[in-house]
Amino acid sequence: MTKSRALILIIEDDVTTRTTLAKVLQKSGFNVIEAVNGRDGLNQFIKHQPLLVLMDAMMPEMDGYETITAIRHYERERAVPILMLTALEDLSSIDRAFEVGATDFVTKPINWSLLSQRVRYAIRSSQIEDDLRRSQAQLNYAQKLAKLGYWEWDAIHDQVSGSDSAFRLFNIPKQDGINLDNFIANVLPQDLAIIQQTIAEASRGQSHIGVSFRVQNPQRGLSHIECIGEVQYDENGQMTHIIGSVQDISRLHKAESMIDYQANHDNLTDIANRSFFTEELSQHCINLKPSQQSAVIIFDVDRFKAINDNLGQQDGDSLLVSLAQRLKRITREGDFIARLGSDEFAVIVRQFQDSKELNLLISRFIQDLKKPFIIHEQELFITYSMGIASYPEDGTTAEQLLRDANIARGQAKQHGGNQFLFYRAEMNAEAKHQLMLENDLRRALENGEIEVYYQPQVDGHTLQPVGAEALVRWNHPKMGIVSPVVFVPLAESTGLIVDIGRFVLMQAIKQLEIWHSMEFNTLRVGVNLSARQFTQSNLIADVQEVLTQTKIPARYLDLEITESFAMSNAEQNINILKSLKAMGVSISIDDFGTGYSSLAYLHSFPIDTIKIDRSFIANLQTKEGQAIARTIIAMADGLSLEVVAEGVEDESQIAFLQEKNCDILQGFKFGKPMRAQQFIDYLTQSKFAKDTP
Amino acid sequence: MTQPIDFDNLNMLKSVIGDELKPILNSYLELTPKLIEQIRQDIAQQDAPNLKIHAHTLKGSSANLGATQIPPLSLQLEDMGRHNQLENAGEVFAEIELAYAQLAQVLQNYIAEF
Repeated sequence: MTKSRALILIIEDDVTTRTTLAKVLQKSGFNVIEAVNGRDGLNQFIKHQPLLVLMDAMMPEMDGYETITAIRHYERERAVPILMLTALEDLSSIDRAFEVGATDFVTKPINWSLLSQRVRYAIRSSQIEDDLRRSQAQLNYAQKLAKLGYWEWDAIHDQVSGSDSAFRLFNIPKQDGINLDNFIANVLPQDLAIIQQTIAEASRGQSHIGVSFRVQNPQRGLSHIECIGEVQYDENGQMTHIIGSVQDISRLHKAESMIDYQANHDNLTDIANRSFFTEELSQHCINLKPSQQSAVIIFDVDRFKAINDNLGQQDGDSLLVSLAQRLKRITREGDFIARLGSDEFAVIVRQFQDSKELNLLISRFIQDLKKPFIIHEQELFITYSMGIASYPEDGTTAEQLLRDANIARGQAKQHGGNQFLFYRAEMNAEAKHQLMLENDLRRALENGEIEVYYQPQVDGHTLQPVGAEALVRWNHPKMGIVSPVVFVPLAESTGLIVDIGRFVLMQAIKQLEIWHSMEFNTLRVGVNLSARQFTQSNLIADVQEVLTQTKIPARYLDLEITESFAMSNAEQNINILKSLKAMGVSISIDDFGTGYSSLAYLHSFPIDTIKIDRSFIANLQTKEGQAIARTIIAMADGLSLEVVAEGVEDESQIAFLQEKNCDILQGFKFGKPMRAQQFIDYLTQSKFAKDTP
Repeated sequence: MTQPIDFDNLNMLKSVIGDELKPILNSYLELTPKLIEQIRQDIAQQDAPNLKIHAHTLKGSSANLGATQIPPLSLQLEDMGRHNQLENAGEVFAEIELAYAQLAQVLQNYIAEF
């Protein structure tokens, strides 16, 4: 087997050493890319995916340790070997290198005759490790495949490939490039829905699937087929492939009742599945008299994808199983529960006397649902978005009730989750409006309707501008300015926030460059990061790219995350923040004081600044408000954190905050959020006012 | 007097990368005087953090070619920078200048014989 030349990334600031390293490695048959500092190195790493990295320890910008930390965080799965170049006399640096994730070290002065052997050895052992992992997986698979068919679906190009036996089990002549619909053409029509539901669940993040169905075969009659598969996703969470096995289980499940059970029950949680639920609800609606009352509850787990990513697939699954078991326990005897999709559950509340009884039932239900789950001896609190539709007011058929409960659930989610809503007729109109808004938002970026505004921040004592917070606005062509309160949650739920966030970041840096070119070269800009942006893995690469493309030092960029989000997933967030911090950007905690965290706990976060929430500033005329603000400022001071007061609107607030040595002020008193050009005018005026006493 | 460079190391490099060692040596000879000048300024301005970085670079680039005198002298400066004790930096610096002058001469001869 011929291999292309292995690619090696050299990160070293000294020209002579770097060039010598490059030449020696090239002569030894490697391809080489060079980076002049840690930040450049991280960038090249992301771009070229080298097979090995040679890294200097001491460098300006990002040093070697910070760079390794950032690389290890970025790559997540595979560990590319990183050899650290360290001085022989510096033992502590070798310890530190291993601590942050270096694979091995090479001492300086470099022994040139041994270097390429060291490099070759490191690459080979990492490949052996990889191969070992892969062949182990293949072996396991091969054993399972002995009596099974093997199939693979390329979800992007909609193409199915598979073994002869797989095609035989699906009763389709073996062929290349067949699409999924044709591949499953002989599945019994009434079983197609189960397959479609399974695929929909897979695309929503259910990475292990299992489904059984029936295939028609003129010679052999009906055969019962079971498919088990693993789903693969790209870095954006988009499903790319499903790979799996298929087996004829007809003989295993001769008993018809058993197969019914399989078809009607969710195989993870063992409660009813969607098709069973729909069937049951239809039957229930037919049996009910208009004088009787009944209700349908549909709910899902808020931010389940993030919880699942954080827990890992296996623990995520056991959370769903625990949730299903709890549902069984907390519902009444006759009520019917089901799992409709990945984290989506439903309950038929069969009968109750009046709305008072329903309210009581629901509030008890929610209380029970809200209690924490225990995963690995840790309490996990989860919240839900819940919609309720009542029979006969909201509908008398299964279809109507399901639709209405779903709309109400969607509204609950839209309003931030962690709530339940009864369906109201107006919701239909609202849902349509939301849908329209969502469609418009999809085109807003390319139509240039998204604009960034800048709200001045001033020094607490001189009241001179020190920077701005970048705030996103949407100029809707018909509705005018749409509040971020409305469209940001929409952008979050649709994933559009990722593109919008990147756009805001780039615009803010562009303005920062303009300000700095105009002798306002100490100004900084604050950019808000949403939860969704934060949990997607490209954030680090995006920030990295923006910083690489500008000459402005990273410390003038301030990234803001809200306190409640920072705390929601503290462990993982600390790691991402550390990677960002390693690039030199400044980190702020927004809306401080509104969450549950203590300042002392926040200190374990790598942050520079806290922003006191506007509600505390608005309350400064009260003794209580003053005490809170004073405490936050004093504690922040003790922890050497900078404090920004938001929502400053009058002189008495300024006087109070100045007296307490608050570092930076922001609010209408100094300027509302304004367009980029207006902000430049504002800067010029404030400078003029300062220069002409 | 000991040689300012370890010829075994230099010849080893030459045997690995051949003629391309020449531009590397030339770039070392071009860049090092600039680096030494920066070190002079760091000492004059009592700029310990920069002295640490510049001395570290001089140490690394010289050691990797096989220089024998400059690396230990640079390490002394690097440590002085690290501990912010620059009292004796001037003396060490004078030794570095001398050592570099010798090394440059030897390297130029070496290049000429390529």
